[in-house]
Amino acid sequence: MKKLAIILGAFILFLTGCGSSNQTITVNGSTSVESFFKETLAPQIKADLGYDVEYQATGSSDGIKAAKDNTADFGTSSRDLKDDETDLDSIVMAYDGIAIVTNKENPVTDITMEQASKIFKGEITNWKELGGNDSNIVVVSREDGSGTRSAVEELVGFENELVDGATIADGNGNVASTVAENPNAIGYVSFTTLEENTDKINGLSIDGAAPLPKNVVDSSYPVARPFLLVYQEDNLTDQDKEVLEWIKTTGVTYAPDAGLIEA
Amino acid sequence: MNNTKLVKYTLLAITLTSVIALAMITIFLILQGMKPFFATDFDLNIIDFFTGDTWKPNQGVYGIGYMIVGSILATLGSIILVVPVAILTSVAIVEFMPTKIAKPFTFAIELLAGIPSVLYGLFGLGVLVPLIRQVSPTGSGQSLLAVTLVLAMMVMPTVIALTVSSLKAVPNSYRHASLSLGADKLQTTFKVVVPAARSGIMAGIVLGIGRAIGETMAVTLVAGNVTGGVPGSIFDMIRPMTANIALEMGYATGHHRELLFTTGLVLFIFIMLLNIIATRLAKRGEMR
Repeated sequence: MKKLAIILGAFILFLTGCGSSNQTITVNGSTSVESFFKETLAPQIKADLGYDVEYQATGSSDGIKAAKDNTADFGTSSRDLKDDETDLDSIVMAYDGIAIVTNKENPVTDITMEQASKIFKGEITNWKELGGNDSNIVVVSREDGSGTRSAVEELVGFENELVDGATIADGNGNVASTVAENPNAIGYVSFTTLEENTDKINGLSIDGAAPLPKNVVDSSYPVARPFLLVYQEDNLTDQDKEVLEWIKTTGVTYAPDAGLIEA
Repeated sequence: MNNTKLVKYTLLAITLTSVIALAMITIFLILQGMKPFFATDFDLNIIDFFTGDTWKPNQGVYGIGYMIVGSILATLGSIILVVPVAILTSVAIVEFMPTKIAKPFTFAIELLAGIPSVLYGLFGLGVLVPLIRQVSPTGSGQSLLAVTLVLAMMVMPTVIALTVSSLKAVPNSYRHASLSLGADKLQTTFKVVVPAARSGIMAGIVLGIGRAIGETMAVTLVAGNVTGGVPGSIFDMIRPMTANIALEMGYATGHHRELLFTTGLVLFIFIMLLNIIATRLAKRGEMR
């Protein structure tokens, strides 16, 4: 029985040890924001403030929910807050461009915003209508609820009108690999995903503007969205406030390092 | 308290954890999954939900009918492919091959059963999907056919393993009796041994169906996961129920999230029914 008590005691100690340590900032949210937060911001936060960052990439809605329920110190979102989420506070950390991508073998390199919208609505169905090969267009889209998807739907103008036969892939990476695998496919991914996959997929120019950060800055490239840091003022500890202040003043300037556009 | 009693209660407590886990999952799924149908701020007809052929949560359109059809067709198709191959393979291994030759086959099949499902999915996406695209009229290789083939490959080793063990369980006296009555090896195998192992084989098939209908990762990669439309040909894309949950759970909120639990509940009921059937079949085998 004594042994059991010792084991039980150790277990309880272990459980309490799992509770939040003072030196860690927990962040939960968008998969699109993950690499910016984890690889660019986190090392700087560690260097400047001495806090570790724990980032869980589960999706924008999860991040917003985490901020609301206070299950993480901060949430992140790659889409604007919805009407029923406005009781939360948020700041823009950076802007991200979204590229419309095709297979390397596809000869089409430039489309208009209107053509893009018609492709995703299913009104243009063959590549030859865009000066390409005579083959069906295979539309690849992110899943419902994805921040990238709602951003593209809104920016390109096919809200709630995505063609029924679209292939749905979850995550930027899956869209990239689906498009890389099919010469007839068209999809959309964040600039960072395009940059990592330029050997496999092509980013289309829209209305003559190539999908490059500088074209987002001068507003010639039209498909871009905000990366939000979401929180509730009342739930912030002193430590959280310190991090928030740092992101507002210093963190935002790191956006270009991650291929993003400074807010 | 003496030692025996202590051990007894400890074991009981440990055993209870799995039962409690099952009970909690069941209650949780039912509570979450039934919520949207009783919500006052939300109007969804349960019949529309089960027969609908469009899933567009952004527009408040929730129909899983076409997913149920897709899941069932893919599972059925894979089982039709698997059963003859699995039975003949098992017969060959147990009845016709000398142990020396059978061993490497058994080993390969066991290895195949241990491959993580995501690797089957990657194989499907990298090899099967491009091949199917060459012949598909839709321009996309992701299709009902791709899902069926991937599932068939995945389920095959499970069915073979169970069939092999139920064939091995047939007493040798059956074989000897049949042979001594003048039947040849082939007649003995297919008229005596296979029928004697029938219930075990059936249980294996049902378990295979369960594995196929519940598979998520591999099928999500090759299904296409369309937002609507009952598949009309093997080249059409489908959205299996499992893929629906896995794809959207990370981002879903409110009733959308609850309806993903409802999808899970439907899946759970399918699997429960299959398990009940499997248990019945196994029991019938024991009684004979």
